[in-house]
This record gives sequence, structure tokens and C-alpha cells, in this order.
Amino acid sequence: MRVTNSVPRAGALRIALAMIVAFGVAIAHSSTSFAQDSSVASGIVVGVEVDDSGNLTRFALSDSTGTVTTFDLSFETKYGLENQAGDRWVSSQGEESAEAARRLRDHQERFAPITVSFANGVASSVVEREEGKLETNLGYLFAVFGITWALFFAYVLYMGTKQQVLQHEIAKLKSTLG
Amino acid sequence: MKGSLAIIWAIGRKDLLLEIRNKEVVVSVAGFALLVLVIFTFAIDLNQGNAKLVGPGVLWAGIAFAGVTGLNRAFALEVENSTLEALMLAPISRDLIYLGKALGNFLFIAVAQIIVIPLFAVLFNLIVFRWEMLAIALLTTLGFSAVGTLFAAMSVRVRAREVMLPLLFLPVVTPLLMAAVESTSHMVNGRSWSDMAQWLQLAVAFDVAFIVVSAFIFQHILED
Amino acid sequence: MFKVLNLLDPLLVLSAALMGVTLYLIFQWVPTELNQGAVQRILYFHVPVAWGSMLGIFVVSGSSFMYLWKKNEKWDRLAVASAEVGVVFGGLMLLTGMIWARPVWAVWWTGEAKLTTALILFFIYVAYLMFRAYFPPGGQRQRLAAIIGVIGAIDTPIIYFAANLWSQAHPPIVTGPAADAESTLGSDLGMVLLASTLAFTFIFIYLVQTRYKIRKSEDDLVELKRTSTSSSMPAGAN
Repeated sequence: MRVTNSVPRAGALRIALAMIVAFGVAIAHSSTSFAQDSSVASGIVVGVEVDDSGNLTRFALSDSTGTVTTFDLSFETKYGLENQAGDRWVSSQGEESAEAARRLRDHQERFAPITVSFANGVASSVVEREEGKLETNLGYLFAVFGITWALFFAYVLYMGTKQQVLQHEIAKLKSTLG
Repeated sequence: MKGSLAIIWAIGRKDLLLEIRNKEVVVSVAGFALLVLVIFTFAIDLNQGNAKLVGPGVLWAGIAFAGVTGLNRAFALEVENSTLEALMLAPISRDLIYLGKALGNFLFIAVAQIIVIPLFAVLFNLIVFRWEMLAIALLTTLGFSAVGTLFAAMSVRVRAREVMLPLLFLPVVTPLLMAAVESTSHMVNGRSWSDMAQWLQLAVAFDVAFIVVSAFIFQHILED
Repeated sequence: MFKVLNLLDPLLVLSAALMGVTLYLIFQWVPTELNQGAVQRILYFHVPVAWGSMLGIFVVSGSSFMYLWKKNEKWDRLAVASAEVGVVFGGLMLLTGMIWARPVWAVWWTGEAKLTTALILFFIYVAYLMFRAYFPPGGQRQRLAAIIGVIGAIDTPIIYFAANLWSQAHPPIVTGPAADAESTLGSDLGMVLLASTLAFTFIFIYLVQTRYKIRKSEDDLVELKRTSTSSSMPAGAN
């Protein structure tokens, strides 16, 4: 580094480091949080409870260890469930609660596994369990973020080096001329 | 107008006479394209069913790659003999030089196709002697020579000329290549004009756009 | 290194701040899409990056045209800077798109019209940069490069039209779990995309600006070298 004026460089360096740390923290923090503060459970439906008008009120899920958990529902609970033919139905508790009950009963009869995201015993989303979906997909997501930032940093670094060499040469030539 | 046509023809004829004497470009294009076809007959286990499926693609890929080598050769000759400078000294406008050179290249690739396409019909056992084939071949060759002449003239002074021309030429002619492959595929499957109309329209649009733009832009290439 | 990169550039500071907001929105604020799950969040990177590459192509063709018209060095520098940054964005667009397509469509690549067009355009602008790298420096290089820039722009609608026709004749094979599901996010999605696109646009401008300065320094250096050789050598020597 042949930069004579060291004051702004130190400032810039600190800001750059702070930025990298901030990005890192933001990514790390959020990656853990959106997997945690709404926990995920997968398993088969073992019980469906409806009210007088056929609307879904509660359902029970048995996971791979045999533990049965009962989930309450909120108005916002979202559904993304497939029938045996693979057609996907997307709706919410507020819109089509009775249909949700029918779909879950269908899953119960077929022993079709589902994945539930929940917080404090209330399900926020109830979706078809696809092979390792929520878990393994995170790998793809972070591959994208990793590649994007790595490429940007590499490109900026490459440009920085190039510009530094050029400026150095220009300064040298100028000093020999002047 | 008549004078312009005479100039274009004079430049095209000059290239043609040179070619008749040494036969460099046509032989290299036809030879290369034929080799591609022959290699594919080994690479793919050909039978009645898949010949119709892969044949058109192999034919046009072969002609496109072979065309690039021919275009490279055509301009290398001008550079080796320094005849491009002589052409530029002539009191004619640049777009006529471009059209003359494009005419020459069009004739070379067309003659090479007259050799290659019948042999393609034999190797792949497909019926290609139809008016549709003539239209497809003419439109595609026109587009190839329009774009190819422009890029070949541009890359004569590039260090890695042999690499640079295909890198520029092939992505730009992809739409034309798609049109040629798709309409040939319609043809070998026994369908007629109406099925391939959209593709032929695309080829016409491509040809017109690139002939006009290239003729217009050519003055910037030969400017010094 | 850090000094020449000018990390205190208001553009970079602004884009860093916006990127922080965007990351918060992507990972904390916007709900998970029901059909695709977590991978759908790739979209918030993929779309802005694709926008950046389109912006690159647009600037290259515009400034190439201006260079041919006005013959001003400035336009050539802008063209090469945005071509290079556009290719970086374009490469990212292809990569992120593939990574998204794998879990959602169950294939890395397919003959869909937008994909084909993006790939061919990527090749054209890579060829543009290679041409510049291989051609001996001087006015002719800039002129010819500008011609490639203009040709690329003319070819773009034709490529898209052809790719579209082609994908109608050969329907893309997409069999993944959420191949044709509608998004369940609606306006939330638009909001995050807007923030993200803005952040990436600022990064784009910063990168182009940095590349532009390098190009300028290169020209300065050539100029200096010429004056230094002509002044240090006796008159008449070459």
C-alpha cells in the first residue's frame, strides 16, 4: 500500500469492516430467527376437530418420534395442501376453514405428511410436506446470498487493485516528468 | 441504382473469380460441414425415428460452424493480399463494398450448401428436395452472410481472429438458427408452408434488419 | 486499495443502508411464501440483479450509439464500464436463477423464453468485452466495440421473439413442487422487491462509476506515457 494520506484510509477501512460485520450479523441473525421464532413440525395428522358449522378448530399431529402435538388455529393461519392427484390448494383459516378441515381429514386417511409452522401452540401455516423442503431449501437460499456477495466483493477488490496500480504508475510517471 | 448494382456485382464477381481459381472457401466450408454431419451419424445411433428429430439441428449447426471458418478465410485472403485497402481507395461508398462482400460470401455458403444438403439427405435418409428447403436455405444463408460479413470485417485485426468471429457471430445469429432448424424440422415431418410461416417471417425480419443496419454501419468499420 | 475504491462514496453508503433495510425486509418482515417455502426469498435477489443486467445492456447500447454519433471518449468509457458491470450482474442473474429453479422447477435449466434470451444476451456482451480485450487499442477499437453494442441492442427483440416461438413449440419441462403455483404474497412481495431493486441499482451505479474511473486512469496513463516518451527523447527519434 503506497497510500500517503492514511487518515481517510483508516476511516474508510473501519466503515468497510463495520459494513461487512453488519451484513454478516443481519444474515446470521435472520437465518436463525426465521427458522426459530416460528418453529416447524412435520408429521401425520392424527386428529381433526371441527365446530358445529364444520369449521376447523384444532388438529393433532404425530411426528416421527410418536409425540402428538395439538395445534390451535388463528384467523391468519395459511394452508398449502395437495390432494392425492397433486393439485395444490392454497387458502387461509379466515377464508375457507371448512375446506381446511376436509383437506386435513383427507391427509389423515391417506397418512400424508404435512409441515406445520407454529408459535405458542398456534399454527401459522400448514403445508404439504415435500421432501426435506423447508430445511434443505435454506441451502439454496444461502448459496444465492453467498455467491452474490462473494462475486461483488471479488469484483470490487479486482477493480480496487487495478485502480491502485494505475494510480501508482501515473504518480511515478508524473514525478519523473515534473 | 443500376450503377450501384453494377458495383456490388463487380465486387462479388471479383471474389467469385478468385474462388473459382483457388476454391479455398467453398471447399473448406463444405468439407467442414460434411465432417460434422458424418461425425454425428456416429455419435447418434441413427434410425428412422430420431433422424427427423436431430437431423435438422445437426445440419444447421454444421453449416453455421463451417460458415464461420469460411468467413474467416474470405477476409483473411483480403488482408493477406492487402486488397481491402485497395478496395477502400476506390471511389465507391462503403455500403456498396459491404453489399459486394456479402454477395460473395452468400454465394460461397450457398454453393457449399448445394454440396452439403444432398449428402445430408443421403446420410440421414430424409427427403429435402422441396421448395420449402430452398426458401429456408436462401433466407438462412442471406442472414449468415449479412451478419458474418460485418463481423468478419470487424475481427480481421483482432489477435485471436479465429476465436473471436464465432464468439461474436454465433450468439447474434441464434434466432436465425432457431428459425432454420424449426422450419426444416416442420418440413421433414411433412408439414407445409403455413406451419413454418412464423419462422420464415422471423428469418425475413432478421435478414432485412441486419442487411440494412450492417450496410448503414459498415462505414464506421472501414473508416481510418 | 480502500482509498481508491472511495468507500465513503455517498452512493455506496446509501446502498449499504438500503441493503441493510432490504435484508431486514427479506428475512424478517416478509412472510414465507406458502408454495415455495424459503427458496422464494431468492427472488428478492434474483429480480433486482436481472434488472441490473438489463440496465447494463440498455446503457451499453445507448452509449455505444452516442459514441458512434458524437465520437466522445466519455461515451466509450461509459459503454465499457456498464458492459462489464452488466456482465457481472448477468452472470449473477443466471446463477441465482438456476439455484432457484432447481428446488422449484426440479431442473437447473430449461428452454423457457426469458432464460434463453438472457443466456444469449450474456454471451453477446461477453463477446463484446473479449473483443475489446483482444483488439489493439485506439480509436478503431472503440468504434468497432460500439458497433457490437448497437448490434446487440438490435438483436435483443429478435432473440426474445424467436425464443418465445421456440418455447411454444417445445414446452419447457418443469415438474417441481411449485412449478405453476401462483404467489401467495401479493403486495408484500412488491414492497420488498422495490427496496431490493433500489439497493441494487445504487450498487450498479457505484460499480459503473468505479469502472469508469479506471478507464479514465488508463487513458491518462497512455497520454502521460506518450508525453514522457516524446519529451525525454531527442526530437525526430521514434
